[in-house]
Parts: sequence; C-alpha cells; structure tokens
Amino acid sequence: MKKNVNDIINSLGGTGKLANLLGVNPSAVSNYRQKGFPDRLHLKIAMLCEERSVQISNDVLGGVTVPKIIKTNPKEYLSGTSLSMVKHLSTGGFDLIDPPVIVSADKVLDRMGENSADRLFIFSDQEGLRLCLRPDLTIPTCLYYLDQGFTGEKKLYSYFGKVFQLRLDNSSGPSEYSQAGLEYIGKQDQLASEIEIFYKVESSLRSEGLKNYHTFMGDVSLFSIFLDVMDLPDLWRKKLKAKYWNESDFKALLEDLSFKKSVDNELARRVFSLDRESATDLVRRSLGMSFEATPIGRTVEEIMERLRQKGEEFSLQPLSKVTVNLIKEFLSISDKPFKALDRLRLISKNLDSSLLRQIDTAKERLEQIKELGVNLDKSEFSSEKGREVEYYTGFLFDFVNSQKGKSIHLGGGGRYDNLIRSMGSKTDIPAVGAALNMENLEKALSLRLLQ
Amino acid sequence: MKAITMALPSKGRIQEDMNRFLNSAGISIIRDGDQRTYTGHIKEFEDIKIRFLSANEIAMELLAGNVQLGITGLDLISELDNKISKEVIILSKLGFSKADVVVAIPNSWIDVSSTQDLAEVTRDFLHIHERRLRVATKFERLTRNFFNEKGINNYRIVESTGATEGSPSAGTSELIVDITSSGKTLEANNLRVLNDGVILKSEACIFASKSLNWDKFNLNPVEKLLRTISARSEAINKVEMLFEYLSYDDSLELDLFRKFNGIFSGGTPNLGDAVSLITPEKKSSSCSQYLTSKGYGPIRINRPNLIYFNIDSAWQKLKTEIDL
Repeated sequence: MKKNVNDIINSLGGTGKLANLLGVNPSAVSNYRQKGFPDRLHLKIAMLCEERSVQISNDVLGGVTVPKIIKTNPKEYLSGTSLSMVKHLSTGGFDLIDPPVIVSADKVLDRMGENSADRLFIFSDQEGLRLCLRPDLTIPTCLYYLDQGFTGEKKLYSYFGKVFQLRLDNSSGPSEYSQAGLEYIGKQDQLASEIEIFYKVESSLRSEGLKNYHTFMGDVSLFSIFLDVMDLPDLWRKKLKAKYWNESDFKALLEDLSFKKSVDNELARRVFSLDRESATDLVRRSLGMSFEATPIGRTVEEIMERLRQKGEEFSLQPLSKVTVNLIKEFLSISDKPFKALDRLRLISKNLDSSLLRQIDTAKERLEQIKELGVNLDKSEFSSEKGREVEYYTGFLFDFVNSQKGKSIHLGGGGRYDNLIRSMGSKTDIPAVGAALNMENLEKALSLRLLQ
Repeated sequence: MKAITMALPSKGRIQEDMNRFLNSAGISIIRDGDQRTYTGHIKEFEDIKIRFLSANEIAMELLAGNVQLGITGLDLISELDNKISKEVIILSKLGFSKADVVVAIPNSWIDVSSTQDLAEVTRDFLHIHERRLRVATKFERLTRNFFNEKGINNYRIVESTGATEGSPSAGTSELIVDITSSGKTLEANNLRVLNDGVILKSEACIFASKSLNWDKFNLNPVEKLLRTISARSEAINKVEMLFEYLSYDDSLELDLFRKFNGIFSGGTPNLGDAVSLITPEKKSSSCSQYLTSKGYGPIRINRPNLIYFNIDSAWQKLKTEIDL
C-alpha cells in the first residue's frame, strides 16, 4: 500500500515516465513530489495505479475512486450499458463468442454482392489473399459456425464487438462502431426461434430503461408466397421475384408485363417451338457455325433455356389490370401489425390457402410476442419491408428510437435461411439473428436522461 | 509568382498521340537534360514546368491536388475519382486517344444482348453454379457504379491489370469491362460489346485541379498555352472549305449548320465574299456535294492546323472555376 506521493511516482516509473504519461513537463512532476498531486490529476493517477495494480491508500488522492471498469471476454473495456447488454444476451443458452475481426473479403462479397465492396476495408495478406475488416458480426458468426464443422446442428450464439464500414456519404458518423447481437443457427422451430430472438433483443432494450422506440416489422416470405399462388405464368413469377428487390425496376417490369410483346428474336421463337433436345441441337449448331464450339463460362443448355424463356415471353398473355392492381395493393399495406395482417388476409381471401396459412402464422407470431408482454402500440407491419436489400428470407424487424424529432436506428434482425449456404455450406441451414448498434443505443439512452 | 506545373504522359500510345498533337500545334516539349529525365519545359512557355508521369499517375496527381494541369485519359480520372479526391475539371477535350470503356461478353452468349439480359443471367448463374459471375477489369469503380445503376448485383470483380480480353477464354472470368478503341482485340478474343454496354466514352483531355490556390501562380503563360491547345483541338478532324458566295441564299447558313455542323469562320457572308466554312472532316464530301448542287464552286478544301476563336472556352472555364 503506497501512502505518499513519492512512492506513487516511483511505482509509476519515476519522474520522467510519469511526466510522459500525464503529458506534462518533468519539472511539474518534481513539483508534485514537493506539493502533492493537484486535485485535477487525482482521478487520472488513480486510474494509472489501478491499471498497473499499484495499491494506494485512499487519502493520498483525496478519496477519489475509479469508476468500475470490468474486463470481459472479448477483451475490451465495456461501458455499463454494453456490459449489461452482453450479460442479457448471453443468458438462456446463448454462448458468448468472439468471432474473427479479419475475414475473407471474397466470402463477405459472396454474401453481400460486389456493389457493397466500396463500403468495406479491403486489404491483402502476404500471400495475396483478399481480406477485410468485418462489416457486421453476422457473417463472421456464420463462418465461425462452419469452421467448427457444424452442418445444421442447433447453435445459439451471442456476440459483442466492433464492426467496420466505410462511410460513403458526407455524414460524419464513425466508420467503426460496436454491435451486440444474437444468432440462432441450425435445427429450429421456425416460429419459436424468431420469437426468442425478437423477444430477447426487445426485452434488452426495455431492461436498459428505453421506452421510446418504434418497432417496424415485415415478412418477405408473404409476398413470395403471394406470387406463388397468383395465377401467373411461371416466367412472369420468376421475373417479378427477381426484380422485387429494386422498387423502380419492379415498377417498370409491372408496366412492361402489362403489354403484349412482339417477337423480335427469331432464334428464341424457334428454340421455344422445339422440344429441349432439338432446341439444344439448334443452339449448338448456331454456335458451331459462327462462334467457338463451347460457350465460355456457361453451358449450351443454359443458353438454350434462356432462349426458350425469351421465346416463351412472346407467347404469353400480358398481365391483366386486375392482377397488376392486386400486386400493387398487396405491397401497399402498412398499418398496426394486427390490422395490417387482417388487411392482407382480406385481399388474399380468394387466393390459395397456403398464403392464408402463412398470414395466420405471422399473426400467431404476433400473438405470442404480445403474450410475452411486449407492447405493440408503437409497432407497424409493412408488406414491403425488407425489399431494399436482398438479405432476409422471412420475418424481419427494426427498432427505431425517436426523441426530440431525431430518429436513431437502434438495431434489428430477422430470418436469413440462405445465408449460411452462401458462405460455403453444401445445404441450406436455417438462421435467424439480430444485432444492436451500441453507439446508437447509448446515444438514445443519454438523450433520454437529458429530458 | 510561382510557376505552374503541368503533368504530361511519359509513355505509351497516349504519349505518341500527344506528341503528334502538340507538334501540330507548334508546341515543343523539351526535356531537362537528356531524354531520360522526368522534368522539362515548353519552348516559349518557360514559366510552365513539365513533369513526365504515366497517364495513371497523372490522374492520381491531379486528384490529389499535386499538379495544376495535366493531360491524361478521361477514363482514368473517372475511375480514380472518389470521395476524398480534390475536384478536377475538364478544360478541353483534345480529340485524340479516343476509346470506350465497355462491358463485353463472350460471343457465344447468343441469348444476351443488353444489360437487362445480363442482369437476368447473373441471377440464373448464381442459382445454377452456386457462385457469382466474374467480371475481369481494371475499372473497378466504373464497373460497380454502372452495374449498380443497371440493377446488377450478382457478380464479382476479378482484378485484372493486363490482357483483360484474354481472361474469359483463359477461364479466370466470364466477362470483362475494358477500354477499347477499335474493338479488334475484343473480336479476336471472341468477345462482343453489349448493346447498351458503353460505360464511358473516353479521350485525352487537359484537366485542371480546382482546389489549388491559383492566385499564387503566374497564369499568363497558361492562357497562351490553353489558347494554342484549344486552337489545335478545334482544328482536329475539321476541314476548311473555301468558295465564293456569288448567289444569294438566305437559308444557306442555317442549312449548312443543321446538315453538316458547318460554321462560316467570318460570320454571315455578304454577296461576293470569299467565304471560309469549317466542317467536320467526315461531312466534307457530302457538304461539298451539297454546295456544288446549289451552284457554288469551285470549292477548295484545306486542312487547318489551328483554329483560334476570339473567346477561348478552356481559358474561360478555368477562369470561372477558379474565380479569377
């Protein structure tokens, strides 16, 4: 136990070293030896002592106590909010893991698409392997799952750590921030796992004392099943599903499909009029005559199939006004969750029962969430939520805090059943997860305190 | 007053094209010391310092604000320009080293002719092959922006710094984004440009880095130099037709402009004037036929080396942009 100033200065490395640590002149430290530490330095000195395990008597530093900073695994200093969040999320069988910070850039881009490359910190190692800093914790967690050799076993993970995304716009936000989150991977009851993830995150917000937030929900599987049960040619269905993820392209496509197409591709028309075998021969002959025998990168069959599709387009009837309007109406529903689902059900009442069952499942999910005590007054369900990025495959949700006219995105999540396959798994492995932006959460909490 | 620094290409096609351009304009570039040095000056414009760099480095130096002026390809500036770059402006397009940045696919993809087709194929490809189509290119940014705009996201970029056209047949990519002037190399490698696959029409330009403190520099030689360069670029691929304006025709001036982009260099002529008409070279034969059919002639056709306009647009642009 160090009781006097000289002992403390010596145990912190002497005059010169401490001057460096404090950013002052050595003469100032010599001065402290005579006159004691000035009040403003008490906390700083106490912290330096604590970091170096130098035991000091309380009265030397005017009785100052160092605020409790707790080291956790992952080995970062966590704020109180972060710490209680980690504690909350890693209960109930969720293992706290520390997935890699540096991941294969190719794996990330395989998942996110090339257009996200300019938001990543990409670099190469000595062997020329392209790596990047993780842009989220979901991808590294899934890679961690696969690295453990799992192929569908149920695993529950929680995580906390920094993620890194380059800022493209002029906003001044940081390009690194902390995420806390959960992943439910592998064998699971679909509804139960979604509710568990949603509830765990939602209740963690409430346990931090946050009340003023809105929940925005959606389920991208509804529209997909809606298209499945509509009386549409398969080809139109396929095109609509592909363009769904880009609102303006989708609108243009709907417009385009409302008109009869005129034949402008003679080869496509001929390919469509033949059976597949003869069509393949025809394509092969056209290739052999004018081009190299084997196409680059794709097979003759692939090219034939696409030509067939093109040929088929000319034979198909355009979409009726009724169909186009029904599609538009289905995508326009946005309301209080129960009301939104009732409205969707009303629109769909003449359609196949598999769609109705899916809507009922969504309603069941809501009811169970409500039974857990979640207040849905400030919630909204939208039939087109989640279409901005092709990412989620089913239920999804976002939490947004609004105070004093400011909207702060706290976090969100949902189901992505094709995620792990795109990371290299041989089979589809179901997964649902969610993450919170800790900086935004802390911002929202401090704004709340100001009120 | 400090001397302006201008960066010029030190190697490759663009250097040869530029030397021809500057020689025709009567501008001689002199290397300091022997031919291997990388600094120089222009005869008669001693106050402009020249740095010889690769076309790529010139683009980087302009965007970093390290040189005031530079001649390089528009493709390189567009590719390298990013959020943190200084603003670079085109003072004048110079009309040489013309080439297009294009999306090219294998000839054998007879089902694909537009970017719309390509968007569908990239999606099908991902489902069939469980990986994304690979695009070989050195124009990563231009490719990403263009594909994003066309709604194509299911692809991967494979970095390629040389012989990009050979990449699909070598099996390291399925398609390419590359720069092409004649299209012959694409053809030889069994590749074809998509109907709407021109990302950028590029040519050599003289650029200025806008952010610098231009008022610290001596701009007198810059005005003279820009005027000469503009005069040369105005004259490139143009012909001058000389004939006598002997029969009055009040629609002639407008017709010549509409049909052949022809401009009377001396303004609206009076009856009996010997007139000089400037038109693009490729319109010269149709234009002369038109004139002879109207009864004008004989018509003498010259190739002007320089055409000076009383207001020089490159110099005006620089003055406006830097607030002089």
